Formats: sequence, structure tokens, C-alpha cells
Amino acid sequence: MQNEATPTPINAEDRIVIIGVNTILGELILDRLERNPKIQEFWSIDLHPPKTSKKFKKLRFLKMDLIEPGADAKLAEKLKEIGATVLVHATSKNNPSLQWVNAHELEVIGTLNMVSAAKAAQIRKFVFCSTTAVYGASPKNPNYIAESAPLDPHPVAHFVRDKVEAEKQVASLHQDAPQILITTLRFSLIVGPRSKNYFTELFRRRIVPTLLGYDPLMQFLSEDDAADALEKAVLEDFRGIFNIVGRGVVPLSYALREANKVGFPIAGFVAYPVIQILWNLQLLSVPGRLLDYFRYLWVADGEKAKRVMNFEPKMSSKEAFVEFAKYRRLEDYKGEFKASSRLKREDQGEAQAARKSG
Amino acid sequence: MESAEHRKPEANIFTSSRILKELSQALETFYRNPESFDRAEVDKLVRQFIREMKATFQDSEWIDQILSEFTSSEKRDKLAEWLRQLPNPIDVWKKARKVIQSEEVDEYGCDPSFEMTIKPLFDFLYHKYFRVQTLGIENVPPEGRSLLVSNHSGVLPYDAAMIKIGIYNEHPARRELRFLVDDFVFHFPFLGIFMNRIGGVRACPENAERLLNHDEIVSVFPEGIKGISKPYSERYQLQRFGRGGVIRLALKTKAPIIPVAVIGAEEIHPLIYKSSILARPLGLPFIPFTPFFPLLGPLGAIPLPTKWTILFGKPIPFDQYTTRDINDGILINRETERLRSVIQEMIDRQLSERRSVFFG
Repeated sequence: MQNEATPTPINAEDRIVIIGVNTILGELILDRLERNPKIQEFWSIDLHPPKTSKKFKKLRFLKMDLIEPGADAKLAEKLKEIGATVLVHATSKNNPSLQWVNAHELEVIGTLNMVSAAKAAQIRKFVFCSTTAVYGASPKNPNYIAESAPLDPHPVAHFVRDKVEAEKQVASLHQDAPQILITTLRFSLIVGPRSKNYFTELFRRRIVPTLLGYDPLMQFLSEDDAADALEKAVLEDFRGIFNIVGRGVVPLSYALREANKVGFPIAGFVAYPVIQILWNLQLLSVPGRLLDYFRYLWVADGEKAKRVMNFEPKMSSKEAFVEFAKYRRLEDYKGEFKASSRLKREDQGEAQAARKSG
Repeated sequence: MESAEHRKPEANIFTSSRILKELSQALETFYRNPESFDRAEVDKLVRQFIREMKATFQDSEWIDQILSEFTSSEKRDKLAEWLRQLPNPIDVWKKARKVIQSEEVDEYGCDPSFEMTIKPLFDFLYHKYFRVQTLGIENVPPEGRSLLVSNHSGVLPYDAAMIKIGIYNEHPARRELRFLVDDFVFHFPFLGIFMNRIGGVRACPENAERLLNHDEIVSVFPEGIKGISKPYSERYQLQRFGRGGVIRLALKTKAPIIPVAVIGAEEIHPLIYKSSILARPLGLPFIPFTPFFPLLGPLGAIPLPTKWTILFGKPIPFDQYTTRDINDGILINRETERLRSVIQEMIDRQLSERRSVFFG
């Protein structure tokens, strides 16, 4: 099968290196590349190998710490060794972290090292995975934010601040080395069976905290669509920034209703400090500083991706969310099933023990 | 007689306070040592207390009624039964929500079902309360992009709602008007959602451009907050039209501008004074003072039932200009002034024909 397929002229000599294989986007692109018959092998550089590394036969994994001192030179060397032409940056963290100093190192210094290594190794293409959260949530946003809009000038949350800084570094790479083709993909919230981010973790339970009196329009992207877009960006050449978002918008409360979840509205002035405290105690997946994203508009315009990349999401925002909620419910049933079967076994064991002693 | 009245409640207050004290002591002993708790004694104290209270309100019968409500077991059972028959409020809310809300909103967050649910209220305002007369509706094109530019007045934006309802009710194509709403509305809880679900979009060039490019009909109030907060003495005098954003928008999207004059809206809340210092902590642009508003409380917020006329003018085309002209400041300024004078003329003509504010 693999031998029959003829690789397209663009991909024939392309050597793809993926950095950040343990994020959702990394996992998705690994899956897609493995399944693609046109690709013979691809490389991945990271601190930890992917969780399901046995599955990938074409993957060549190289272990390396990307934030240690001198990592940029090492990375450039490795890239030259491989003869890499395409570098995929997918290390962007899914979740805000309580250890924000570490997260900053990973996000900003990691990107800095990658950018300077890309410059030194003279790669052909740099694919950078970002998020639409960099625009910031504000009542002053237009309904659909275009790619040309400025990024959030004063992000409150460390999580967003790091991402904005990483974006700036990639922009500086564009200035320093215009010959490198840079594709920046800004993904909206990715929901699905595999993705675990601050949003999906918050929406695990049946009762979901919301902000009293605010019901922002949200955009959700299914994992399949996200993988489609990333694969397209890696295999074909598109220069510039693209918003990768789901079709249409859905108000948060409508999405909750469709997914049969119950919103628990909290007044804003209570919610911010209380949720910040709960976050500090690690009882919630969302810091209070990120609550603006559940309050105001931050919907991005996906028209450019449709026009230039010819990317159209298969699922609408609502469908993606409902699908995700269905999967979660199934998972809960599975958990119950496991628990009940374990209880049965324990009962049997006790009965046997009782019989023996009796 | 007077002296007896004076003495009685005093004595009662003292005895009832004594009883309460004893009661609390009894309860305290219960908490310390539940076994030695004497139920009969407490009952006696409670009965004594009720007797004292009764004596205090001797002439009133309602206390007896309330007491009988709680003491007779039959009535208590009835009450419990009635309460049990009430539907679960969560279920009621879920059912109501299915009627009020539709399954999906459009791409700007407008919910058609919700719009239809609250439309009767606006229909009442349109037909019965303001008795709106719509003139020149044939100037609104049945399809394609167009930009309605209107005078803005009346403290609360009733004029935007009436133009929307007017076009929906009177125009044969039943067009859905999109109106642009000032930013500060979206800072507020509930208000922002409400405006969004009935078709309001935040006023910014990006949104207006996108709406017009999708061939929608958009209404703009270039006077903005300045128009809404006009004092009564300056009624029907158009304020400055922003910085020419309207003309720039029309040039960019090649949408014709339809001038609209709203007569009658400027008298619904005659503004005497506005305070921006008091409004700052609330995040509002200003707090209005009318002859009725802070004085009569919420009643003062009811608009006066003036007779309204909405006049749609002839469309002004902007096809003759190219996109290069957007940067021509002088041209933009001239066109803005021209548009302003057209609307002012329409207002003045209509005003001269009007005989009475309330009867038209």
C-alpha cells in the first residue's frame, strides 16, 4: 500500500520534525502523518516520548530538553543532522499551570530556542500552533476578530501572556528571516474525546459554574477538524496567520442545555476571587484571571482559512460541543461499569472468604 | 383609658422578655444535658408566650388566623398537599426555555425565537403607545445592503427598537434590521445578552463592514451618546456626526445611505440635567434627570406617550466614489455635512407639519 502511493512534489524531499508531541495537537498530527501513505518517515524532538509511541512505526524520536542552556545550538545541530525542512511547533500548553514560572520557561524560552535554531538550521517552513485566546476577551472586541487584529496588549493571565510573547517571537523570526515560510495557526477551543484542556476539565461535571448575567458566544473546534487543518498546513504551503475555528457560534448556555448540563451562575464579584482561591488549591482547572474568557466575546473569523487554505470545518461549534459531552457521558458510564464490576468481584471474594472460614 | 393603654404593653413586653429568657435557658439546658430536658415546661412557656403576645395584640384577629393556620393539622396537611402539587421550578424553567429560546443562534448571536417572544411588547409600544406613523417605507430596498442613518434621542434607545419593528411590520419584505449598540452595554450583565439576542451588534467599523458585506440592512446613529443625552432645550438639533465613520463605511462597502428622521422620540424623556460624576462608578455614560425620573422612582422611567413619525428619505448612492477616496478627509467631511443637513431638513419639514406633541 505504502509503496504504491507516489508522494507529491512538495512532500518528496520534505523532512518533517515535530516538537511537542504530548500536547493534543502533537498527538493529532502524529496520528495523521502515520496514516498518510505519502510520508515515509518523520522525526520528533521532545523531552518525553509520546505516550503511545509503539503505535508509530514511521516515527524517529530524539530525546532532548528544549529549555536547558544551550539548547538552541543543540537543536540546530540536530535539525541539520536530520536535514529538516519543516519544523512543527506544537508545544503550546493546553492548560494554565500553577507553576507559572516553569510554564513561562517552557512556552517562551522554548519558543525562543526553536526560533533561533530554525534560523541557524535554515529550514524551509515553520508551522506554529497558537490559540485564539491571544486576542484577549473583551467587550471591545468586534464580533469576528480577523487575523490582522492586534493581540491582547495587557493579558492578565500568565497563561495568555506567555502565548502572546511566543507569538511575538515568531513574528520577529518573520522579520529576521523572511525566506522561511511561517504558518501560524490560531486554534479556537479544541473539544473532543482526547483533548484535555482547562475548558474540557471544567465541563466534566454535570453542574458547571457560569457567570451571572453573561452568556458569551463561544467557538468550539472538533479534534478531527483541528487535525485536518494542521495536516493541511504541514503538507501544503501557506504563508501567514490563520484562525482555525469551528463553524458558527453558540452561546455558552445553549451549549450547556444541548449537552444536558446545568449551569450554576455566580455573580462576577464573588466568582473571580473564589475561583482564584479554588484554582490555587487546585480544585478547579481555571484560574480566576481567565474568567474573562467566560464573560466576554473572543470569537475569531475563520474566513481567511476558508479562502486561502480551503479549510472548512466539518462540525459546527454546537455539534462539536455536544459530541464532546456525549463522549464524556459514555466515559462516565464506563467508569460506573468498572466500579460496579469491581464491587461485584469484591463481594464474591468476601463471600468466598466467608464460606472458607465458615 | 390612656394610662391603661400605656401600662399594658409595657408590662407585656417585660413579661414576654422574661419568658423568652426562661425559654432560652431551657433550651440551653437541653443542649448541655438532653436527658434532663423537660418538654412539658417548655410547652408551658411557649403557651404563656403566645398568650402574652395575644394580649398585646388583643384587638387584632389576624394573629388568631395565622396561629390557626399553623396549629390545626388539617390545614397544615392541605398546605403541604398544595405545595406538593406545584411543579418543580427547574422543570418549569426548562419547558419555558424550550419555548423562549431556539436551538441555535445566528452568527451574530440573534435568537429568532426570543425575538418573537418579546415582540408583542414592542408591538404594543409601536401601535398603541407611540402610535407610530411610518412614511416613505418604499425607500427601503427589499434586498441588498443598505445603511440607515438616523437622529438619536430620548435617553433610552426606543427609537432603534421602533425603526426595527417598523421595518419588520410595514415593509413587504419583512427585513430584519441589525442595529449597532454602544460598547458600554456589553459591560453590563443581562443587558448585553438581551441586546445581543434581539439582534444588536457592538458598534465598531469591523462589525458594520462585515454586516454590510453580507448584504444586511444596518441602522447607525452617528450622534451616539451625544444624541441620546441631548438636553430638552436642544431637541431636534442634530449633534456632530462622529468623525465621518458612516460615510467611510458607505464608501468602503458601496452601500447606499437611507436618511431617517424620527419625530416624537425627543420628547419621551425631557432631559433637564445629566450627571456624569454620579454615573462613573456605575459604568454608565451619564445619569439623566427629567421632571419625573429620580423624583417618582421607577414610575419616572416610563416614557411619555408622544405621537411618533418615522420618515425614510430617498437613498443616497455612493457608487461614484472609488476606494481611494476613503483617505480624502475633506471629501468625507463634506459628505458627512451634506448627510447631516439632509436629515436636519427632513426633521424640520416634518416638525412644521406637526400640531401637537401628543396627538400629531
